[in-house]
Amino acid sequence: MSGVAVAAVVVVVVAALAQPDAGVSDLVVRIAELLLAGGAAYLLDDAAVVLTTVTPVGLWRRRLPQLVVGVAVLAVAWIVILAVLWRQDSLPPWPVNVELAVLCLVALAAAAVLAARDEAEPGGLVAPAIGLLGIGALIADLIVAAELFVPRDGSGGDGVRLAWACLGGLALLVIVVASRDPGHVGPLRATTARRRSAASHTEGRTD
Amino acid sequence: MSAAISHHPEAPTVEHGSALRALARAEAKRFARHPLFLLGLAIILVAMAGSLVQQDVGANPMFGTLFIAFLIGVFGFIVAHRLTTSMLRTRDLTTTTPVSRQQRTLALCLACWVPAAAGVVVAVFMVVTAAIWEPVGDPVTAHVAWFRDDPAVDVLATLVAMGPVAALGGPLLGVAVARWAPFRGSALIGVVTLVFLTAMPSEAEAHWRALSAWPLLVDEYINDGGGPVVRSSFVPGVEPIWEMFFLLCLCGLAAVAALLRDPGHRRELLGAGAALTVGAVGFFLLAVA
Repeated sequence: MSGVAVAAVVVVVVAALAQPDAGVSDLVVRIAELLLAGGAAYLLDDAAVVLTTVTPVGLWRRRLPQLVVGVAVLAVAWIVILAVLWRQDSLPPWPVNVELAVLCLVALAAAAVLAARDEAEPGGLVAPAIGLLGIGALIADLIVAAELFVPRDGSGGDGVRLAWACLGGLALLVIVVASRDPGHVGPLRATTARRRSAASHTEGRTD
Repeated sequence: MSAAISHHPEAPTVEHGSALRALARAEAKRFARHPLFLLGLAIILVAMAGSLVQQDVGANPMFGTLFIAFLIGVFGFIVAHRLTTSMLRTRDLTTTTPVSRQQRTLALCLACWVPAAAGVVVAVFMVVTAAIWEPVGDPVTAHVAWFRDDPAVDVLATLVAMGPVAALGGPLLGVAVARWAPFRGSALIGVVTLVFLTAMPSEAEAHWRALSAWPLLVDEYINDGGGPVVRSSFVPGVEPIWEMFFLLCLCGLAAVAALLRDPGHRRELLGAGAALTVGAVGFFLLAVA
């Protein structure tokens, strides 16, 4: 994952050095975004899932350290990229940060779905898929001239921003649903479970 | 108490040719059945059906090569990468088989003819549809990069270079990347780098565009007010036939690079690599001369 983050920074730095006066193109920034989003797909990987699932620690508790470190690495990489872009006077508008966050959420959502289907390392499948999907969207953006990404000049694009926000919300929902811990019993379920347990206990006595 | 020391038995040797053929067939089947390869083909089929319904090729008949290069070539990169790394993921099993890892890599390289064949089929479809509904510009006399206005050799060489050769090169590069960089994330980095390096802007000089692994050999033009493409022409200063051979040499170099990961046949491979490098340089110089 850190290799992907480094690659994203390298791509932007090389582009900035290659044409110091022209600024970094939107294509390069989007490629860096795709790399970082692909990197996010590896955050739910757990090669030892067979062993870790039998521990009494909850799913999110197990994922938390890797998620925190991974998000920190991605955030640092993005900050470095923004710093390079700022030096080149080609800093993108703030909705681009939301665009990246949504791409990361989509990657995490896909990884969470695969993880729920007992895939130990979903990142290996999701990351290239995110790359292909993003490149496909970039090509479609060029050919069809349909606005799929947030406009860089900050003008218009309210519909696109709304679509990205909806996509982010949907991805968040998928992450929550796909990451339900089968071993965890919530407060509502706990009451029901206690009643059932008590009922079966009473039945056992009368028998 | 006695202890018996059992050396790890060497893998039994089998006849090279037959084993390689069987292995290549098996890898080709795996490639052809891979969901990502099938997804790319499905999208292409939808686009082909759309062009049949539309009954119009447009003023840039080479446009379809973009689909071949991306949906077969770039998707094929990931497919080949997955197939190659699966060999490493099942190391315990693959080491017990009577074929070397280099033979397995060669079989994977041979299996890359599956996407190349798919690319050929799509290219033939493009030729057939353009023969039925002749591509014309706006006005009708406007130049179109096709058989009516340009030499057949140039048209065919461009079609092959931007279509089937791209469909072959992407997967071969996928095998090479997976053999040399089998770490997690190499597929993503590889595919993004591949697209990044091949996406030469149309304003770039002809020799820079010719150096790209997927060179844009055709320029398309639209009217000032925008709208559809009205005419297209070959990039001046690039000879398509030599460019095609240059790209084929790059494909060969990718295969040699993949095979060089293992120690066997080092001398022959280095010789082939040197010959292909000389060939690539020579063809490139001829292409931009």
